[in-house]
Amino acid sequence: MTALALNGLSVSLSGRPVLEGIDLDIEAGSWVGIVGPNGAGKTTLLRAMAGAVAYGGSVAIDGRPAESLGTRRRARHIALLPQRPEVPPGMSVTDYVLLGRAPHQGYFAAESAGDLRAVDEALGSLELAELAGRSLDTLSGGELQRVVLARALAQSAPIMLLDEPTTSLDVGHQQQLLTLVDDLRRTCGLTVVAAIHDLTLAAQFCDRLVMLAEGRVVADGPARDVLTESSIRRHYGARVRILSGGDFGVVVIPLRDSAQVSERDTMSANE
Amino acid sequence: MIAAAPTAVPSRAGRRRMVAGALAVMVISLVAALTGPADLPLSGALRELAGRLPFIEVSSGLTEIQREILWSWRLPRIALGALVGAVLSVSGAAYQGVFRNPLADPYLLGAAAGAGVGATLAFAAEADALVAPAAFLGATVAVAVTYWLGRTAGGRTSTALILAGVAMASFLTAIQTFVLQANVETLREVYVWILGRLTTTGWDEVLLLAPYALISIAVVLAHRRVLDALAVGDDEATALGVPVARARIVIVVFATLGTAAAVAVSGLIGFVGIIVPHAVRLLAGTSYRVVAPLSALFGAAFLVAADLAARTIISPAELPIGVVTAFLGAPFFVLVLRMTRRTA
Repeated sequence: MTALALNGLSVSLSGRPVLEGIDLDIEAGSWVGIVGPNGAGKTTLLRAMAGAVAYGGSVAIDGRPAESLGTRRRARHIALLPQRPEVPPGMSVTDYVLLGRAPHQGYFAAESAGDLRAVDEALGSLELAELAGRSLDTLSGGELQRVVLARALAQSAPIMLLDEPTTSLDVGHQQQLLTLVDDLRRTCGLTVVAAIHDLTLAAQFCDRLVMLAEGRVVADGPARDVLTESSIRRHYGARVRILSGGDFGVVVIPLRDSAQVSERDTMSANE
Repeated sequence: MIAAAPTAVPSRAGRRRMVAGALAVMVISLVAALTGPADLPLSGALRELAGRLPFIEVSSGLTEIQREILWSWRLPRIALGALVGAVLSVSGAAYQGVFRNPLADPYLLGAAAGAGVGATLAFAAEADALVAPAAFLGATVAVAVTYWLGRTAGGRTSTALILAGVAMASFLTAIQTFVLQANVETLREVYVWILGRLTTTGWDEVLLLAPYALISIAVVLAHRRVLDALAVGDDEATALGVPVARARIVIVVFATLGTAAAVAVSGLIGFVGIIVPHAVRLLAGTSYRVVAPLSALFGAAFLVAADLAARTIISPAELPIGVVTAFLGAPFFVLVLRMTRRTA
C-alpha cells in the first residue's frame, strides 16, 4: 500500500526553483533514504511533504490529497524531525515532548489521559524517563536527538520524516539512533523517510534510496543500484570506491585525490 | 531561563499554583479593600461581601458611609486594577511568545505611542470624555499600521515587524510632542495620564474594560499550547499542526484589543507586561500552559498591590501607579536581561 505519493511536486524558494517535477510513491512500512549532494533539495522535499513550505503539484497521504487535510490533521499523519531543531531555553523535556500532542488537542481542553500516556510511552521507549524534568539546554547532543525523536513519536503519526538525524552524533550514537528508528518502524509500523548524508549508513538502514541532484530525482532503487562509483562522481563530484558484500551491504569509501596525496608524501619526505 | 524548569505535565502541581495565584488575588484584594484613609473593620467587610452572595442574609454592621466607601470607591478600583493587571500581563506573555522575544511587552508594536497621541489630541480638544475612546482608537490603529508596514516591508519575519513598531512609536511620539507644544496648557493632564492611574467613577470603567479584557485573556489562554509550539520556530510549529500565520495574527489582534482597552481606562502603566510573565516563568517554568493563566492571576494581584502602595505611601496624596510599577520594574528588567544573556 502507498503511504505517501508525490505527483509532479515542485518548490521555488524566493523565485529560485529548488525542486522540479518530483514523482515518488512510498510504500507503507518502508524506510526510504533521500540522498544527494548539498543543495540538492533534500530538506525542501521533506518540508514540502510535511506542508511546511508551499509547493506545486500534489501530495497524497493514504490516497487522500494532503492539501485538503489542513495543517492540524496533516500533522496527525506526518511528523517531521528537523535537521537543526530549535531548542527553546528553559523548556523541560516533558513539555517539549508534549508539543508532539499539539495536533491532537483542542483549544480549551486540558491534556487528556491519552496525551499524557503518549508522552510517557515515548519517553519510556527511548529510555528518557530519567531526563523528563531536565531543561533541554542541559542535554548532550545525543540525548537531545533522542528527545526530538520522542516528540515525533508522541505525535503518533504513521509517517515519520527525518532530516539528517545523525549529523551531530558520533558513530556509536549514529548507529544507536538509526537502530532505534528501525525498531520503532517495525514495532509501530511506521513509514520512515530520512535524508541521510552518510551514504554507507543510508545503504545499511534504508530499503530504498532516492538520489536527488539539482532538484530532480536522478536515481531510485535499492542501495546497490543507486550508489555507484559513476553516479557519485557525477552528482557529488567525488571519487569513491564501492564495496559490497553479503554481510556488510554497500560501503562507500571516499578516495583521496591522488595528486594531493602524492604532494603530501613529497612534503613529508622533504622534512 | 535558569537551571531546570519544573515540569508542568503533572496537572496537580499546575493546579496548586493556580490555587496559590487565586488566593494571592483574594488576600491582596481584601487588604486593599480594608486599607485607606477610612478604616473598615475586617469582619464587617467580610459580612458585607457575603451578604451579596445569593441565599445569604447577614447584617454587616457597616455604616452607610462605610458601605459607600467599600462598594463605590474601593471595590471598583480593586476590580479595575485586577483586570488591567491581568490583561497587561497576559498580553505581555502573548507578545513574548509570538515574537519569541523575552523583552517584548504589549506596547511593542506602537500601542502605547498610538494611545498617547489619541489621548493627547482629546485633551487638546478639551474633550475629556473622549480620552478613553481616542486612546483605544489610537492604540489599535497604530498596531494595525505597524503590522501592515512590517508585512509589506519585511515579509514574514518578526524582526521587520518589531522594527516597524520602533519606527511607528518614534513617529507617533513626534506627533504627540508637536501637539503638546502647540497646546502647552494640556501638558500636565497628558503627563498624569501617561504615568497611569486607576481612578474610578463607580463601576463605569470596570464595565467598559471587562468585556475586552475577558475576551482577550480567554483567546490567549486558548492559544497557550500554540504559543508553546511557536517557541520551536515557524517550520516546526507548522509540522506540529499549527497554522502559524493565522495563529500569530489572531493572538496579536486579541492581545492588542485587551491592551488598548486597558490603556484607554488607566493610561500607560509600564513594565507589568514584562515583570509578571517573567516572574511566573522563574517560579513555574516556561510552558505557556502555566505561564498564561498564572500571568493573569499574578498580574491581577501585582497591580492591586502596586495600586495599594501608590495610594498609601504618601497618603493622602497619591503616587501615579506607573511610578510604582516602573520603580519595581526597571531593576527587574535588568535582572531578566542579565539572565537571558547568561543562557544565550
